[in-house]
Amino acid sequence: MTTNNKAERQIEVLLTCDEDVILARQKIRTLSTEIGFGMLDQTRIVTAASELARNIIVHAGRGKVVAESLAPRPGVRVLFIDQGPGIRDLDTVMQEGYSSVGSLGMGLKGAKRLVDEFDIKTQAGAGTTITIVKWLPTD
Amino acid sequence: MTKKNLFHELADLFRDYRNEIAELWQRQLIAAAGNVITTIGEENIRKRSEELLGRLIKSMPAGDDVKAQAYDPVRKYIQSLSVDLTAANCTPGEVATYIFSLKDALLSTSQGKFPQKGRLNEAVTLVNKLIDKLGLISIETYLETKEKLIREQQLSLIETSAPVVKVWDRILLVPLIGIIDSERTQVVMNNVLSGIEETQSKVVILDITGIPAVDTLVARHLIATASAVQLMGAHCVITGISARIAQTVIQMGIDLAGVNTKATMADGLREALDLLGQKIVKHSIKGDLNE
Amino acid sequence: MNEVTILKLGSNIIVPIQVELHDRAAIKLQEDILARIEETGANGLIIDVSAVTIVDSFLGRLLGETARMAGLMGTKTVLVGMKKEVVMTLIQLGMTIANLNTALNLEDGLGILERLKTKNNQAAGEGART
Repeated sequence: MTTNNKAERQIEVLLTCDEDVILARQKIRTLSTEIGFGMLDQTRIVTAASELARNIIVHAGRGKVVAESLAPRPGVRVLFIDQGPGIRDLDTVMQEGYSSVGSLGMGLKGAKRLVDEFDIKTQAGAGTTITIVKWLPTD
Repeated sequence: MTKKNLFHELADLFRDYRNEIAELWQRQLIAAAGNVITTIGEENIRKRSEELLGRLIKSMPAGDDVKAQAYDPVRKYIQSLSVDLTAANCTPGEVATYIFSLKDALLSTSQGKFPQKGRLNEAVTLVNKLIDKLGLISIETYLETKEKLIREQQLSLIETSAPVVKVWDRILLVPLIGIIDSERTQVVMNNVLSGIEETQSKVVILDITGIPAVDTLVARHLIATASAVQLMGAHCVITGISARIAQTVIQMGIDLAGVNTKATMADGLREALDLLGQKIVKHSIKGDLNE
Repeated sequence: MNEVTILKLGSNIIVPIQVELHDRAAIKLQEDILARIEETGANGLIIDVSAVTIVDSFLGRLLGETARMAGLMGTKTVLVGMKKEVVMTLIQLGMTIANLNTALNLEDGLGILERLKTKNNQAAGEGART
């Protein structure tokens, strides 16, 4: 990520089952509210988080979500970390029009459209880390 | 080092001949009878020329890096001059030409003042380069002013051109004007959905009469807006489909099949009333305007 | 907990989703709704999402599917009360829920079901005459 911003407040949720995805969503919602995001942006952030957390459960089985508030430029950064099989052929997955609704690609591309910064680091057999950032609008 | 000395030397020379240079420059401008002099007047331009020349002589010993701090007074003066002149209807080319014409006055003043061999040539090159750079500042200023204006206009367009009007009980009208990009679409969508929420409207008429062209991208934005309206629980009718738009939509293979479209806003209003189970009928009493 | 109440009102089934559904719970809800339709032979189904703050691609797809499944069983579905923020996010995600009846609120939703029923009856009546 291209930011020198420091993390202010941090939350962490372990993902092992469907219920954990809900817990992660709720905690990220609370954090986003505290940072000052409006309803629409909150919904975008939490929806993106929901897509990416589900991917971990479905494709890696387990992992974790780390969310932090950023300063001095206010925003939120969320990391989705797993030690799963990794994403093979990432470019194809991220291609527009590649995936069908509900598949891995739909979740990733959809999530990417909802946030300001999106970064994937993945290695076959070694896991995946996805980082998303949403900045608080200035006006 | 000699180059730096030359700058000093020239600055001294121009300071000594300051009045002559200004006079030469002015006469030349009058002779050329350019737009610059006719729009803001001889006296006005003379005062400005003298001021500019004075500032230039002060900055010159610093060299020819016009972006340097020493040239701040010169740059600022050219910038405000450029803004004033273009505001008075001079073209950016005319403003630059005005500044370039200072060259002749400076060069003819330099003639015969450098007895040392080759020194005059150096001086000529130097003055040429320096004045060229100053002329460019005026053009850059013009472009920056223009860009700033365009940005401001775009912003105001985004803000003002997405009005949502309640035209009838539970019917909203959204006249779209100008360019539809993803940023605009987000604004329009937000306004429309808020409007639906506030007025509990059942039908939204999206009128695209004011949109110059519908390409694949614009169509995608329109379809997205229509889908959003529908997900909220209201109907969307897109009106203002001209013959030309109908042609391009079909020829480009854009699928508008899932969208309710009508040619005119009046058709759209009729459709909206129909969807609400309402109808406008003539009453038996003749109106004042009725034959 | 996490159970969604499924109400029966006349010949319609009403499902107000009041809790945040995880994926398994959403799948179970779909099964429960379809079972209830089978059991009651309901003509109409209203899914009220006015209390739902997040619809991601999974839940969005599931809702659309449920409506189509109900349709196969002869039951018309109306999705009512989707929040503005949820709508905009779904559209940005790239989701469209095609051919789905929607309404602003429960009342309008019931009105739509009523009209669809009359249309159906008329169509059936006309069919019988020819």
